[in-house]
Amino acid sequence: MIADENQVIGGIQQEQNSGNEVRQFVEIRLEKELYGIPIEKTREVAVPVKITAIPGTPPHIMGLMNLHGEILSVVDIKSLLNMKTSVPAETSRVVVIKTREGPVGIYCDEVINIYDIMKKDIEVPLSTLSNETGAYVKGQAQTAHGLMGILDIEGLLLKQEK
Amino acid sequence: MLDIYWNLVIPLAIILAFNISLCVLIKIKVIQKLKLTKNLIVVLLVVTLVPILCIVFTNERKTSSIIYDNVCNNLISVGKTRALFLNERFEDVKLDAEVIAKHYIIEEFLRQVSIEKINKSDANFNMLLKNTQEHLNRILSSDKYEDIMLVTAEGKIELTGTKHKHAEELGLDISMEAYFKQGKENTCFTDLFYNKFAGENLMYIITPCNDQQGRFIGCVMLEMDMGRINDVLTNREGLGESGETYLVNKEKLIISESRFLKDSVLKVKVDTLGAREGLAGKSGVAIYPDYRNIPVIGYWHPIKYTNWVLLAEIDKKEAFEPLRMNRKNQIILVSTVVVIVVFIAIFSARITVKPVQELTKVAEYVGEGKLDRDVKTQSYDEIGFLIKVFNEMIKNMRLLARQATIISSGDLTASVEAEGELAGAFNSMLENLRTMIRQTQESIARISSASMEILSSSEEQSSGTSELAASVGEITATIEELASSSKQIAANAESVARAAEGSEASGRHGTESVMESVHIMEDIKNVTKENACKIISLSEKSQKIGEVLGIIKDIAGETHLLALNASIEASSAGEFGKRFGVVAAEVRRLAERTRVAAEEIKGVISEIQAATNAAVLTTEQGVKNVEKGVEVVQNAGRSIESILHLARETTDASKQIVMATQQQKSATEQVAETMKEISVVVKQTAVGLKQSTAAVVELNKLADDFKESIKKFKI
Repeated sequence: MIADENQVIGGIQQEQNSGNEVRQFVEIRLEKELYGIPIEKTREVAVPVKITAIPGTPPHIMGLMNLHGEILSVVDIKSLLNMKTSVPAETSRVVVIKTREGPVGIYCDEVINIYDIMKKDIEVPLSTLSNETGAYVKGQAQTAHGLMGILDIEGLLLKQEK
Repeated sequence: MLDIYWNLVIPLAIILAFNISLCVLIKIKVIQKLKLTKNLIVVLLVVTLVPILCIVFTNERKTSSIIYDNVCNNLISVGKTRALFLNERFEDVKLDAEVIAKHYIIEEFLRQVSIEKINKSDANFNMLLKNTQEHLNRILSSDKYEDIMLVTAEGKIELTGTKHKHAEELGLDISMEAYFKQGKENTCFTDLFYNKFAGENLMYIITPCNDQQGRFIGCVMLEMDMGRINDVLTNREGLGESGETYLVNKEKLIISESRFLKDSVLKVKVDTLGAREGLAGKSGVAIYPDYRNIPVIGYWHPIKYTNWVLLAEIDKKEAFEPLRMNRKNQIILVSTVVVIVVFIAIFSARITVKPVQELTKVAEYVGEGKLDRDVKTQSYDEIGFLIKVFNEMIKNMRLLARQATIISSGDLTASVEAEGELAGAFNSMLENLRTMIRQTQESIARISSASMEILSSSEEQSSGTSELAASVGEITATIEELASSSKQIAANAESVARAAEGSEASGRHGTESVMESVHIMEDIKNVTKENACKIISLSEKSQKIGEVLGIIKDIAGETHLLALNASIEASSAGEFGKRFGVVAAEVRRLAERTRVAAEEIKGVISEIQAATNAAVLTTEQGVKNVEKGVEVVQNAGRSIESILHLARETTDASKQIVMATQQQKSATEQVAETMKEISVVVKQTAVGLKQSTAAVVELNKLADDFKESIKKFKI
């Protein structure tokens, strides 16, 4: 796990080295906050269908969802980030994340856009973030909708599994 | 007995009933209309002629049937006798022929000629020939037959009698003749035919001749004429003037001599009922037209062997001659009876009528008012009694006339000394006259006193009349004033009427305007309603647009999602997906823009909907207002209508006033006129009063005169 983290950081560092390298992020909205997920970690964006709750699971596991015949567990990322539990809305989406242990769906309030961001535009995150949350925000960048935090989504998910 | 009953009782009963009914009929209808003489004639004629005619009719029928029966019986007896005679004769002839045929000489002769074909020059045969010839001549000498011929089996005439010296028949071949063929078998009779050798009408009787062995050896043929038969048939005994008997053969040709037609044998055809029936083998009697087409009573009877018919006929006219004689006698009898009856009727009527005519003449004289005649009579029957009574009546009338003459001279004291209603009435009249004259005298006394009173009162009345004339003049003046005031009223009423008519016209105009504005309001209402509908449909359409927008938004969202996924796929494709990534980004942007635009349109549409809702509300308000307006206008219309009504009433009323005043005017004028007339009358009355006063004076004088004159009557 540590190696992975290093890899990620290493990647960023690599990009930092070449300042004009472009990375793509999927911009999602949780309440009013904007977060970016690196595109290579994502597999697809889906409209949430019927999510079947499974008894005896931790509260951030919302349940199982049938996506094109594939059974997918859906995680409420907001409860992981110490936010209120998600309420289904018209704009709600499930973003499928590729992890080492298979695909996992995360439930978000809206998927806004995909942005191309040059490496040099990624800033170091603010120190005002709480430690727990801040541990998974690896940087921040300015988009048309506001400031977007770049999430270490795999880390966040795996931490919870531990 | 039954016959007598039918012939006497029934006709008498019919006559009696007929007479009674006729008498009744005459009594009801005719007697009142005819004069006595004609009446008697009619009644007597009917009573005598009806029974006579009935008897004549019955008699006629009976006689006719008896005569017919007699004639028939006569004919039947004659005809039958002659037919029997003929039958007998033919039977004889047949027997003769057969006997001749059986004779041994004939038999031998024919056998030798037909069977042995002997040489004719043989001496023995010559002997036989001579004997045979003699035998035949012997038979012929009885004059019963004309000739006898012997015929061989081959049909050749071998030998004939020599009576007539003509031997043309000798050697003649008759094998083809029909009678020979029949004659081979049995005896037969030919029909009568004209024999050219003999030159007269003859008939043959032919019979076969057989030898001992029964072989056919030839025929014997007898020749016979009609002489004897004609003698019998032309005998007129028992047949009267027009009766005859004759024979007809099967061709319906007459074959015996006719009584009416000379040289008729085999020349005249008799196609009558009798001939037809007789040829059919029947016998009978009937009335039919004969060969001369004259109606006859005929009897027919068929004759044996020959197919002939014997006809015995007598003319119908002759047969019924007695009937005609009888009828002539009856006509003479009836006409004599008629003449006698008419004479008796006229004579008896005259005896009865003559005194009646006398009486009538005198009665007419009395009717004219002359009483100086009596009716003279010698008869003591009902009419004589009537005349006596009539004379009595005239006497009474004379008495009354004399009395009336006395009364007319003024003497009322005497009375009529006779009995009866007329005399009583006369006396009571006298009595009444006396009383009346007495009363008249009293009345005249009263009249003279009353006329004095009238005189005084009429003088009073004349003074009253002059006062009346003065007051009439005053009334006339007042009435003229009244007339002038009513004229003024009429003028005023007319001006009111004119004003009312004006207001009526303007009211009518107002009503028309109101009707027009109501129409316009209705139009406005309809237009507004239409507008509201249009606006509502607009609102609906914009709602539909909103729905479509929702769909667009959904599509945009989904496009966005797809674009996101496409971008992700592109990035995972690495370097190869970069271009695709650009496209996906572009699509994403497009979707985003679509979404934003849809949002904007949605905003606009909701604005439109708000606006249309407001417009709908406004139009509804407008419609309500228009309806209110219509109501208000209609109210106005009604008001104008009532104004119009009032104006009309006013017009009518003022017209009535005008009319009334006019009537009043004419009435007052009439009153004035009347008053004038009254004044004239009053003046006339005054004059009349003067005259009546004078008349009363005259009356007084008259009453005095009348008193004097009535004193003359002696009561």
